[in-house]
Amino acid sequence: MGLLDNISLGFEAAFTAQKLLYCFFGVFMGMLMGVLPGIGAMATISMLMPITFYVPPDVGLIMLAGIYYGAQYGGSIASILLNLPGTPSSAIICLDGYPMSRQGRAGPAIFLTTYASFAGSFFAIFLLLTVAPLAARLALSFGASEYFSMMILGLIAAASLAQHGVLRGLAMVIVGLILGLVGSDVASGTYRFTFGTLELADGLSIIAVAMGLFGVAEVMANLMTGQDDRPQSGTVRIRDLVPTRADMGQTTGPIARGGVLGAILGILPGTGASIAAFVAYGFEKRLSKTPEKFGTGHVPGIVAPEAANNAAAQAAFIPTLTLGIPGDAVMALMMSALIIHGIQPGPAVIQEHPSLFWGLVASFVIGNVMLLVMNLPMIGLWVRILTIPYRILYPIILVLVCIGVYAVGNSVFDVLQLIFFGFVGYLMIQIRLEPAPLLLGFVLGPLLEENFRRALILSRGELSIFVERPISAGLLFASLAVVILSMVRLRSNSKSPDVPAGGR
Amino acid sequence: MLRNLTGNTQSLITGLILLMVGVAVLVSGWSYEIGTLRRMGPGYFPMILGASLCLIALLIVTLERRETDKGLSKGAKTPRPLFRRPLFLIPLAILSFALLLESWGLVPAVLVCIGVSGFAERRNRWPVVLAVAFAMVVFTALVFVYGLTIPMRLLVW
Repeated sequence: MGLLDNISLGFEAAFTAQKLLYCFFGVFMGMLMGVLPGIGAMATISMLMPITFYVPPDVGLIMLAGIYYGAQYGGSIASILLNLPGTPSSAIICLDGYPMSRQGRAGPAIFLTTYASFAGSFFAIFLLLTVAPLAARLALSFGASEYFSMMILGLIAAASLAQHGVLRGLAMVIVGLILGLVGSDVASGTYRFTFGTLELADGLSIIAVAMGLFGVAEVMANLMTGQDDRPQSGTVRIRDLVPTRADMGQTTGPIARGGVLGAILGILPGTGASIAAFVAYGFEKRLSKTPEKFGTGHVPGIVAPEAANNAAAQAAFIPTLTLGIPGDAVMALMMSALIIHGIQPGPAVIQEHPSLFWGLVASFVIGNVMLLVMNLPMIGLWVRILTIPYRILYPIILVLVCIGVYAVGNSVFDVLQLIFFGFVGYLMIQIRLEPAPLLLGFVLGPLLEENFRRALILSRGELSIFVERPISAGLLFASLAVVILSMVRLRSNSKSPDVPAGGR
Repeated sequence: MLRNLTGNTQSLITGLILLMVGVAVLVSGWSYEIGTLRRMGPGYFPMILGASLCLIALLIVTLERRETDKGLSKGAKTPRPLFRRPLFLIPLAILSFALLLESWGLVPAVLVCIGVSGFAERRNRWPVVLAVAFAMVVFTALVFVYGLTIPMRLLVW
């Protein structure tokens, strides 16, 4: 099937009243929650996951995806106005966005990031149209050993980009893999680590794990630091939105580079939107003739990472849907939503559910246009929302998280798991362990084990199968390179710039 | 809290916690059949994971020291109020939601969950908490029970 056929099939599939409605709902909720610091795509997806059970899977996926990239648009608004990232991927926007807002240029800053988000997304959409089918075809030739090595690369990439060093990242990946063991072993049917309870036979609830670690832990940590409410942003006045001609002139190059970087990093499993934004910022600064301007309200400093995180958020669907290997924690959640619907993400998705895949891609185009149109007139609303104090918001978040966790499995036991993982997550924040690599490990754990075992059955117990097959060997070599590189980085102590931490 | 400790102590604590998890996996995984590389039993993979976690825990304790010391010194100075209410009330709020939902219904579950969690923040006064709680009862009933028809009962008599 040609490219144009795919595009027209996609738009045909996406232009139904129901899908447009859910697409709008998704991007709107994503943006709204993205604006609010402390609640990001992760929490929103978990809270709205129950909705997807009552609509067809493709509609649900369009909505969930909309939340993810909608949150990327919204996240930078809080960064610019309050110096608090709405989502982790927009943390880096604070560095130049907030100074712009201090100079009374919050309006142009929001306009420019919206524009950059929109432009960046299209790099990813282009890749989805061209690369995804190729990736799926390549993946069809993958055997168990290739899948195993691919997942190792993804997990190691995620670990190496953890904020507090590769060792802690690896530790979290392994803890995640261990949590993934809970439940019945696929091959033998043995119950592992269920502590004799029947409720754990199907494994831990992913929503409970995710929301415990990200949502509940975050709420407890925020309350424990006793931090005051957010600074009042009511004084922020947006006089004129339109950026100057000089501003616009500075955007083309950074957006193009940011978009390409983000799209490429988005495809690689294990690297998500946050990393893409960081890399794009660093790249732009290094390339710049005036690196000293970065951090003082420099336009390329906001548009490059913003283009990159949007491109990455959408390109991340490529490994998730074509290989069945999610690139980051949000994608891991998305993948489990598909599995709940009976769609196993993998190379067969494009072939077996073409209207789902191409409809999703088309919905990206539609959703981005919606966001672009919606964002600017609503700046006043965002400013007002940011003045809602956290002490009102957190009980609401908590109730929605509880209902979300309950509704996914219709199980009170899942809600109890939420408490456990809330404590674990709180402890992890205290000892500076990141939850994102853990969640990725948790989702990939069963797949990793299955492919590991299958590969070794095929090779009659010879470990050399992983290096004899060229693709597998290449992937493992790349993983090794990533570990060595990040160890070297640890030694040279070139730490990434400090940015305020934010909720997911 | 723990974050106030110096990098050395913190790496040590982190490493020890991870080591404990790793050892626990090794010990409890021992009861599952291990098998051979060619035909792995259910215990093989857990053993690999437990052992690698122990290894990394030891690496964290030994390698990480100097590095974290620097990074931490800034954040370590800020004093943190030891306000412990949230650590107790937030889990209690979730627990009461879990216990009330199926036996009493969504309305009391939401009311109690917000009622309990609301007071985790000292400055929240009861009229505000009450208003939020009732607003959320109406909202969740409309959206989740009537809108999405998620099988939850509003009130159990």
